[in-house]
Amino acid sequence: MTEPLIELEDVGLVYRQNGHPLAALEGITFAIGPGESWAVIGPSGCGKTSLLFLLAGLRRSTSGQVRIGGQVLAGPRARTALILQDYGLFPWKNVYQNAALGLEIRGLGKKEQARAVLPILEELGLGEFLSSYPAQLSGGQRQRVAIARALALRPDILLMDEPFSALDALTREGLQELIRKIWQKQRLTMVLVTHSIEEAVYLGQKIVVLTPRPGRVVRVVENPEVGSAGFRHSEVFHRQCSLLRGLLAEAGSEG
Amino acid sequence: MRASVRRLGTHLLAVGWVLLAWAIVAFFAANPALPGPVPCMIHLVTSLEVLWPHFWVSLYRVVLSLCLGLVTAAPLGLLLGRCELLDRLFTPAAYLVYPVPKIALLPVIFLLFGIGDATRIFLITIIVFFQILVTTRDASRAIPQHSILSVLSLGAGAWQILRHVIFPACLPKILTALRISLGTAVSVLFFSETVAGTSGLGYFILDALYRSEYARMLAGIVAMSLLGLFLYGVIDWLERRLCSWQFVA
Repeated sequence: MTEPLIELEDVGLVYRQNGHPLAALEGITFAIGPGESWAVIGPSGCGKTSLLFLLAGLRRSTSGQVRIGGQVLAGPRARTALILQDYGLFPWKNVYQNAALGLEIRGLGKKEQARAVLPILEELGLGEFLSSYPAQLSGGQRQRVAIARALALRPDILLMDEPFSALDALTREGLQELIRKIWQKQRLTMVLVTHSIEEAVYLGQKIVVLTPRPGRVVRVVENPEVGSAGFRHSEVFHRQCSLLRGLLAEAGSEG
Repeated sequence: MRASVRRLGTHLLAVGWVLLAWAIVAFFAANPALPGPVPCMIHLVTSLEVLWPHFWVSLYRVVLSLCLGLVTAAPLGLLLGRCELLDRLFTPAAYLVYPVPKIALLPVIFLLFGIGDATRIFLITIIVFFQILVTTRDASRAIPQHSILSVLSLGAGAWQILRHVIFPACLPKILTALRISLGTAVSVLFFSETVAGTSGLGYFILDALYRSEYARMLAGIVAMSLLGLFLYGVIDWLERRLCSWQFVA
């Protein structure tokens, strides 16, 4: 059996809000194998984003352990890429500068940056927009720039926080398809946080269902058909959506 | 090209409105203390040789003061906005000193720095310092946490966060603060030049008033206004160069 790449062992997270402790996550335990695609779903405020920030090394758990490649995670990791809900683009940087930012921060020279970033931007259909600013792009194009920035880091783990929530239905489906292809082609380990049941089912081979705050794992739903032809319109897809809907309703009433 | 010609056209139109309003007020006032724009403009051109050195001195004083205020207040404001402990330590002190009318301190500053440029520049600097400090600090505080997290996840350290996020995010506000400070700086410049001095547009205007040469006095006021206009133009130009992303469709 392959060693897991990401392991969470009894992870808890407690914030301090106005001087009072507030539990965001409690007893989270699961392990993600390399190349797997996981989705995390739960009601608003259940700690989904906090969980993603723990995996990105942007927060430290207050109990339990997060391990990546067997090492306890102590901070942001070079080969983990994170795509945030609002894409994390900077309005003062053009498309190329936004996409190359991670490489610039890591100290790569201009030529190396260009060699790494330009082919990705071309592949994502942004070749004509290199000097455009985010304000000049559509929502879908902005999301593509965020994807390009993430891919330029040559990640082995891709974390996404509700990446398509602000997009219209057609653009969203197109980008979900793009991400699925990238995941399959580059054999990325992917964790997607979403509030969309359809998105979780379309992209997550395993789907973690969380309770309302403090977020606890209700169940990890197996979803092995991800990536198969015509999956979005299949009976299995709709059955999985119904199952998740039921689990979320149950989790909500428990909370 | 066409856009810049159009911009120049609207600017000239704005100047035209001001001159027209001035001419109407002067006509109805019918008072030798308020000559119309034509005699003043004639005086402005004919006394250019006398006026020019005063213009340069004032320009030098106001530019140096704004630069000093900017390089001291902007970095401090960025720091206070991002560091809660420093903010708690320094901002109440800034709020305490900010409302004090610094002009009232002019005699004290004269005693400390003597009668010269240093006093005037120091006075303008401390006044614009607080305007730039408070605006920059607020801009720095308002940067959303997700912008910082975005670069942190890319492995950025403190310097890179400052360079890629905090400074560019605050730059438009810093330039706005500079624009607001410029108006204050020119007003304080005028006041400071009317006290114990023999140079600068403030001195030129007051000297003309004492001589009851009203056209000459208004020519000095126009020169001061042109000085402000020139500096506003420079700040606008800087903004278009440094914050070009703000001007895209």
